[in-house]
Amino acid sequence: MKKILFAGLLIGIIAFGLAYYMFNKSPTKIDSMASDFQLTASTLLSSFEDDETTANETYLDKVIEVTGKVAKSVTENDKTTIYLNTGNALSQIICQLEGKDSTIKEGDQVTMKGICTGYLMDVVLVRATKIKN
Amino acid sequence: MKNSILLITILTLFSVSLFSQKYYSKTGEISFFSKTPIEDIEAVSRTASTVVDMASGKIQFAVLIKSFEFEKALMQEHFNENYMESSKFPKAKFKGSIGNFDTIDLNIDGEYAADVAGILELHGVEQDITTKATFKVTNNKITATSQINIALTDFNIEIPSVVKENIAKEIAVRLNINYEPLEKP
Repeated sequence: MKKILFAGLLIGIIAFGLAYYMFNKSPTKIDSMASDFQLTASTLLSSFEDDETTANETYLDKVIEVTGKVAKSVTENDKTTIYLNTGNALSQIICQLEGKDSTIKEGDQVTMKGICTGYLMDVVLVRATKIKN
Repeated sequence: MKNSILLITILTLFSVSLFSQKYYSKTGEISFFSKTPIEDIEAVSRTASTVVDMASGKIQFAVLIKSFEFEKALMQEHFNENYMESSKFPKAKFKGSIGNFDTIDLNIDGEYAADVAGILELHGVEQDITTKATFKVTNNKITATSQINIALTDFNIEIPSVVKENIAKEIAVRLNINYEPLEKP
């Protein structure tokens, strides 16, 4: 009888702990997530320009690796945003980093990894990070 | 279709540059707060696109709902999947005008109070809104800040009764935009 009670209590504690952990879990770090797609900046933009609905279905919430040339790097309030050239002067791939990264310079050829949130004038990737030069 | 309209509007804004006083930002910060005795919820997006024409007072915003980041993964998931249905309604847009735009003198640095009115499209629902904003002019750059209170019921955003106590009925949305001049030298 005591054993059953003890086992029940143990399961209860584990379940509670697990629930508490799940509830307070912070979003998964991008580094530990596998990429779903590997593309160039211009390919990614043109798929949104051609058919936004289909592109949304394909890329939204997915981890994407985008390769392109850095058009601009802006740091505001300790957060860096990288703009990748797409060949279209008005639209870029905007990669919003979680922190500051001053190693990425204008003109660099880089591969950025981030989560695609959609298309306004530009395709936006959040929680992005540089994976290679 | 809607997006091509947005694109055309923005293209037009870009093309008329000679006499224009247009300013833009692609990294506008929009954050919101929900405060209840049970929990405080906060989320922020730093990738809002916006254009303002100081010659006519017209102002536009667009932000991707999925670009809002939360402290807790589960909150972000519920926000996107249950409340905002961001796969169905991926964007929020605002199109309006500054009522007293002619009182904002871009040649004189300082802080200007502005009245902004327009239509906010959120969760597939369009609503007229009015708000007060501050335009701070420094060295041909504008920093705009504003706060708008949004009632969830106005936009058909339903919160299940289980968590009703955890989420405020009115959400405070704050904007902080660093505008840059649009003209290329």
